Amino acid sequence: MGEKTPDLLIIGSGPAGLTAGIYARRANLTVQIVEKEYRGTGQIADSGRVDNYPGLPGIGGYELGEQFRGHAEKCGVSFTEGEAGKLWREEGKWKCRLEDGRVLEARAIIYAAGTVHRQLRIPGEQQFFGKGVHVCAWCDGAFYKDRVAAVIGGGDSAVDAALYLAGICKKVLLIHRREDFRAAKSSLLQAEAEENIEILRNTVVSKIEGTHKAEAIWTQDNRRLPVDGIFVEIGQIPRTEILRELAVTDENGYIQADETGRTALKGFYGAGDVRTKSLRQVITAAADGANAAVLAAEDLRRTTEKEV
Amino acid sequence: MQELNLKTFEEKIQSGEETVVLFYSPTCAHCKRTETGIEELETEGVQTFFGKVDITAEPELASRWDIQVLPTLLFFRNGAVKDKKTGFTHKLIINEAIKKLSE
Repeated sequence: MGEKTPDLLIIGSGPAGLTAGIYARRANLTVQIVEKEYRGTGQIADSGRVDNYPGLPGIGGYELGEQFRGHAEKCGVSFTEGEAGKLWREEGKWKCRLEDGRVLEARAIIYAAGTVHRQLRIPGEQQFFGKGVHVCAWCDGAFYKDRVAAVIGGGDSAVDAALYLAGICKKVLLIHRREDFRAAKSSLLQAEAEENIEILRNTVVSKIEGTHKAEAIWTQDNRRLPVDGIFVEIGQIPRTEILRELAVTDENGYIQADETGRTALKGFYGAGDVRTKSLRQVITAAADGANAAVLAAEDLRRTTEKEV
Repeated sequence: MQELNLKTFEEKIQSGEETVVLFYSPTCAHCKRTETGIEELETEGVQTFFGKVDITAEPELASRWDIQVLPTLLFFRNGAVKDKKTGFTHKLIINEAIKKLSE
């Protein structure tokens, strides 16, 4: 021991965490990113194609994530693989216990752990998960070449998945429980124009039926829709369970912070999809990371000046 | 890693040699991350044969080996599947599974 406490610990290695790392290094902070998965880049990796990141139209999500990561590495960000289990403040420092028992510490924390896929929580979903029920069209869509797939959801990820699958599958059912879609109008128009996409509005899925594999969807109005594959894209929930004791989240689990990333807790910042905001996209995640890192650097500098 | 097709896959498995096969698709990010880990194992000198099968080019192999999720890793010894891992698999877990193959 005896080493100087690092300035900044970033929990999460998606676009928010990696951008925070880049900006923190440019502000000359010592910074370590805790990544849950080996060489992870967050959920962007699951996106087959990103069409709304300026300057890089149509870039693959995996490639964009790798570029963010490569940039952060080039700036001198160090990475630790592990899953954060508990965070607390002690003697003016933030501590993070990882699931494997290691305890890391830093003067400030940027929490950018992202979100996880929301589940339908209907009969058959768990039973047939990985057996006809999937969450990543770009990963598993290839199994349904010339077959029938259903995408459940009404946001950008659902419509993008349907468009991707339309290029592979014989037919794609895009099933949404409401009349109006949250997805970008341009994508929805494209989906409506695709001959092999059938859009089912105001349709609530109540059950997934199958034997060894998922075979059909049942709707609340008692229709049976035979399908080969089902892709659940009904949004995300923030990965913030471990923050419960810190009381920094709202009723939906999002970290309460404005665009500076600052929370009610000293030295604790929220960035990316885990933060309360209206638009969750790669660009807003990256912007959050930049803001939080710059503000953390400024707050740390003020703290140091006071201490001197 | 060597790209395998229907013919080379069967030849390799029937040779009885310890073989690890990654089933992937070109658009699957978790497959690419798993593959990066395998490439690192190769660089580190792990001697097992590593092959990969693009299920979009070889759907028959995917169906024959009941591959339903990507990535899937199959661990072969003496022509039979000894272990199977699905989803992103860390290189350390792959290495552990390889060690168990020889036990």
